[in-house]
Amino acid sequence: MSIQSHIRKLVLCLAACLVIIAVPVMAEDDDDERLDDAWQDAIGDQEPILTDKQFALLNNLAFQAAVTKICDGYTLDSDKFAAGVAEATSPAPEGMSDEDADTWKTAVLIRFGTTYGLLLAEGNDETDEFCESAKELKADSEVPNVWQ
Amino acid sequence: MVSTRIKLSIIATLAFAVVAGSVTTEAISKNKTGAVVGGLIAGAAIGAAISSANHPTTVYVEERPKPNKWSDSFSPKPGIRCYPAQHACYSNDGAYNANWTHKVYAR
Repeated sequence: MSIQSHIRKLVLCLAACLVIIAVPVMAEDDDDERLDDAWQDAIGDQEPILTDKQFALLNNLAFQAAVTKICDGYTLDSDKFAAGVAEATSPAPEGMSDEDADTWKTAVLIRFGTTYGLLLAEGNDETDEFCESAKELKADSEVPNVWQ
Repeated sequence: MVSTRIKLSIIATLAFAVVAGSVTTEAISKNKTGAVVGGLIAGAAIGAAISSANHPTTVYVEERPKPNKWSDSFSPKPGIRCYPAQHACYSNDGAYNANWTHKVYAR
């Protein structure tokens, strides 16, 4: 076998290796703009101060608040927003002292602010997709929103 | 996603195929030369295995990675991925999806 043939095989092998390594990385970059590491750093080790449902409701409120800053044509309805916050934080954990209740309220507000900030970052990074998602929420009659 | 270990295995296999293909071709063209070389290599491997059999060696086992609940996700429908640790769902285009966050976690 000639040296050229060896070299040709080696180049083909290296090219195949490059494809195997590069394709999954490209796929990850293309389909996920979620700030995974930031979310984990910010709230990954937080205590379960809310139920799963309450966390999700709070996430959606933070999303809708972020949308009003990033996408045109959205304004918060203050009454709906207040009702939404009340729903997302009720019932509060039972048996808390006044001091514990204050600490819990502070933790909830910090969680909301953190989520709001992270969604602002995601939305400003991929504005078109973020605002398209807002449009879908507004059009879905089965899911409540707190916009005017 | 293909793990790094699997990637390395595939790469090693490809590289072996390249080298093995060359050796086999040359062995045929040079009659018994390949067989002699192969015999030497096999003999050396067997000898090494026998000589090491009497000497206990320390085997280091890689510690099993702890489960990372943050990376757990599932897809309630094609194009949507939900992250239980975040109580949130995202579309495949990367955007937060409030509709599916509500449907999955808030109903």
